[in-house]
Amino acid sequence: MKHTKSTEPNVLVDICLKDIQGIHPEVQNIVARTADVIYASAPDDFSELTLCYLLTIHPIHVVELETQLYVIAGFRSFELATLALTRESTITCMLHANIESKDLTNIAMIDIAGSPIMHSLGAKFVQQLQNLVQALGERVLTLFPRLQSIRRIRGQNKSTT
Amino acid sequence: MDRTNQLLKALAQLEITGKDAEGLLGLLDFIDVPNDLYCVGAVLENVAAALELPLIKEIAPHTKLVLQALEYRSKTYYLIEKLQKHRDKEHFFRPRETSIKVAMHSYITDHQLYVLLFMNSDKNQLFYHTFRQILLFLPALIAKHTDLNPDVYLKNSDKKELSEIFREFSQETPITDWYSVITGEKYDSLSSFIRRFGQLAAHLKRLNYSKKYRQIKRLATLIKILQLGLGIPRKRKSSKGRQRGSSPHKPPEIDGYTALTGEMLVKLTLPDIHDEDNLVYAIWESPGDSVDYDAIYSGEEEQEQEVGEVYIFQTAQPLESYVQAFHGKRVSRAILNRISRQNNYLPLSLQMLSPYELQLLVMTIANEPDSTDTLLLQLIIMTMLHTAAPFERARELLFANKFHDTEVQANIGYEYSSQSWIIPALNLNYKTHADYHNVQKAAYLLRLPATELCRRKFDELKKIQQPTETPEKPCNKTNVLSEDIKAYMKGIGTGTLTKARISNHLLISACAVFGQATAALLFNREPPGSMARSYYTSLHTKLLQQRYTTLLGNEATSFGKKINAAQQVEQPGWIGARYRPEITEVAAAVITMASELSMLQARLIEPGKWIEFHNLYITYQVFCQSLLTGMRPITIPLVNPEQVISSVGVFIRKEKAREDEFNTRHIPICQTVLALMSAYQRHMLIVKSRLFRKSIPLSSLPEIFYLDINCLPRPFQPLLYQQVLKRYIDLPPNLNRRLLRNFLEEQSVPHEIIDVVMGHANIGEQYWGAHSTLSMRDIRGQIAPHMTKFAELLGIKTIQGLPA
Repeated sequence: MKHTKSTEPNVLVDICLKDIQGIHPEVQNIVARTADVIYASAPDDFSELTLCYLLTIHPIHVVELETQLYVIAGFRSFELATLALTRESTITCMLHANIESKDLTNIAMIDIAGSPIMHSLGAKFVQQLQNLVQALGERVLTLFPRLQSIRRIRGQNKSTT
Repeated sequence: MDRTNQLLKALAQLEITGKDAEGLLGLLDFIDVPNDLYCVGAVLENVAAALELPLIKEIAPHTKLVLQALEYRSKTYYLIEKLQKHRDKEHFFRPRETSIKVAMHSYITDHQLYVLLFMNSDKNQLFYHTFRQILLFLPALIAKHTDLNPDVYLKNSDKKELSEIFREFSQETPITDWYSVITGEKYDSLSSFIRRFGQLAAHLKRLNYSKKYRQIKRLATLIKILQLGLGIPRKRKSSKGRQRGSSPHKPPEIDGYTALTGEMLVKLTLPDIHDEDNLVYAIWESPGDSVDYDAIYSGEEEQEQEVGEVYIFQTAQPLESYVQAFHGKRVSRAILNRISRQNNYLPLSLQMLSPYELQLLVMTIANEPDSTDTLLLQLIIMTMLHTAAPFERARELLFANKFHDTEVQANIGYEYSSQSWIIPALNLNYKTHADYHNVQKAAYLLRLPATELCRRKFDELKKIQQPTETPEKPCNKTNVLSEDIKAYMKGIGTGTLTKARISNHLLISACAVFGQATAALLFNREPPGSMARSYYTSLHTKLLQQRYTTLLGNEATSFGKKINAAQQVEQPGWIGARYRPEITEVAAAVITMASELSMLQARLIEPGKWIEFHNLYITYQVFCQSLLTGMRPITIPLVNPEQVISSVGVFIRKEKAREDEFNTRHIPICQTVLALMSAYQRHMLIVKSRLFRKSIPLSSLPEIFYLDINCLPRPFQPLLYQQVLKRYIDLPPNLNRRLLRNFLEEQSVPHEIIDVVMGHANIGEQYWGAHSTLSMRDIRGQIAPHMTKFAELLGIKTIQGLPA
């Protein structure tokens, strides 16, 4: 299951996606509350290559519980990986060794609420995205074909009304 | 799959696998559980209670049985605990249904004792538990006695009788009352239990009620069966050599295969002869261990066998494939029979008139009649020809000034005021009756414009016999006999005309030009072949009138004449199927759904709104896709990309769960469907990502589902769909097929193309079948513009699903 073994508390390990059992039981309730959340992208907006890189940049965080691996943070990464990759894919995850059970809730909430605040573009989302595309050039469009129609990424409401 | 595997599979669903599962097999057999573990929880509760009671004396001396009881008791508790935790536990525990026959329907025959273990009683539960303990060990006890006395044995029929009797008794108040009197007692042995039943017989004898003799007799049987457990043999009728009645029909492949032993079928031939007649078939068994090769090689065997002719192994095939091929031949012969039965294949020359014959016939009718009788004969032949009515129907022709639109007509007729034929509307026999209150009802009759010749003839009749004001019987009965007609026809041309050819002529022409459905509606006659078309078609009377005129025009030009038909009578309404969906109302439903969806789309940010959106979106997708493809809204009424051959734009679908090839059809699809399909695929991906956050395992999701308020998926069912659809249009879900068929008929699309779209065909004549010469590309080319127009008329637009 794990390719590297270490006594260090947190290690990056390569894990086969099917070996992750799911979201940690302690935080399942919290994650379930995000079912209403609308993101700017859908699982099929990413190519396999871009998704693999993104998953390395924003890894899935797992802990071992009774010899099984459970996700404690990086829920969005986990969701995209599950829906867009095959179950046999190997991805790099952060394995936490010493996390107290009482901290799990906090970590989960920090990920769910903090990550969007940290990453999402602020005012004038579409315009900023267009600026980014212009600044980065054609290459970014080959990596993210959806960026060719930015309005679509923004979501239905704006484009239909 | 054998029973063990099925049980293991069922246990695996309860998360019991490996040794745990294997350990439970003994218990499951002990209680005679059905393979799907139906209601096993409820039964186990009873079994546990039965095993908790002190064991009866007869079991006690057998240490093995006692240990078995203890082991099974603990396993029972273990399994109950597992079942309690299972999310689908309703399946395993007591259903709401209390009638044993309904609750255990389909298990009663094969699991007689299981049914008894399942039974509960309000007042006699303890008695039932005791009885259950006896039931559980009865087979083992009897088996012990069988070892000593072969006359004591338990037959399956005994179990069946036992089950039937006990179930019957449980519904008889005198008996259940008696049970409740003794229910407090302890029954420490089977013998005391049986004794108690003996007392019941005496008790019943004293009572006075209708069924008592039957029940006393049944009770005696019950006691006899239970006594087997004490080693008392039951007198049985000696079985006869032959079974009474016919033996149940077995599929031939089983018959054939099991009767043939061996693995290969080999074709043997003599070395020099390759003539088919000299072939010898043999069944070859693969050599097992019993063959003494040493003996053969040493030559001993050969010396003992006389060497006759030498055969050469020509070909060999596995016996199984031979059996399959044999069975295949039988099936194909049966199919051919079905085909020829359904389509009365006869050359057209035997079924209809040639243009020359038609001309002769029309000229004869046009002749001035020399008597009233001749006029009547002419009129009847004319009716047969123009209304495609069989002689018997034409003879009953009514003529009147005015026919009522609001009355159901029984006979065809001629209406003087409108100069039209009156054809009663085709009455399809529906098995189920349905009334749709808000829809327009079908018309009762159809007026077909009469030709000039017809008008003239009826005017001649008018001079002799005044028509009644309204159709009345029998005032205008004609009294023409079959013989008279035959005699009259003898004089026409070569005298080879027959009644059938005259009355079938226009019907067959109509079938060829407009298809079977139009022909059936026009003449109120069902041509041979699949009836499905008529059940789905409903056409406006105006269109039918136009088609009739066209048809007569075609006939007239065949012998170079022009026809002068009467003016069509304005007659609103339609005839045909049970109800007729109109494009406008369906379009209104589509538009309402679409606008509700876009309203919901604007409010997706509100918690839980996306569930509402999803449910309506599913309905919208199913509604639109089924409208554009004519899919039956059953199992999974959506276009699946895996079933689409995009190069020809054809969707391959099997709708009815039958094995034959008749139900796999090819549906040409238009661009809108493809766009709807891809929007749906994306929507589902996003729904899955949301359900994933709710920790709902994606592998367990049905292919298409609604969501309840707690985000739990409910598999798509026509009934659920209908409930949602009802808010928009109050018609059954299969309105899509009727609407599509009517639309295409009205667009004058060739009928064979309509049949391809709808999947209607005579057996063996599928236009999408392997032997069809119609090309899918051509079909699609012809249908595509109409489908695009249809989508436009209905206002079907591709609405995107959840954004992300």
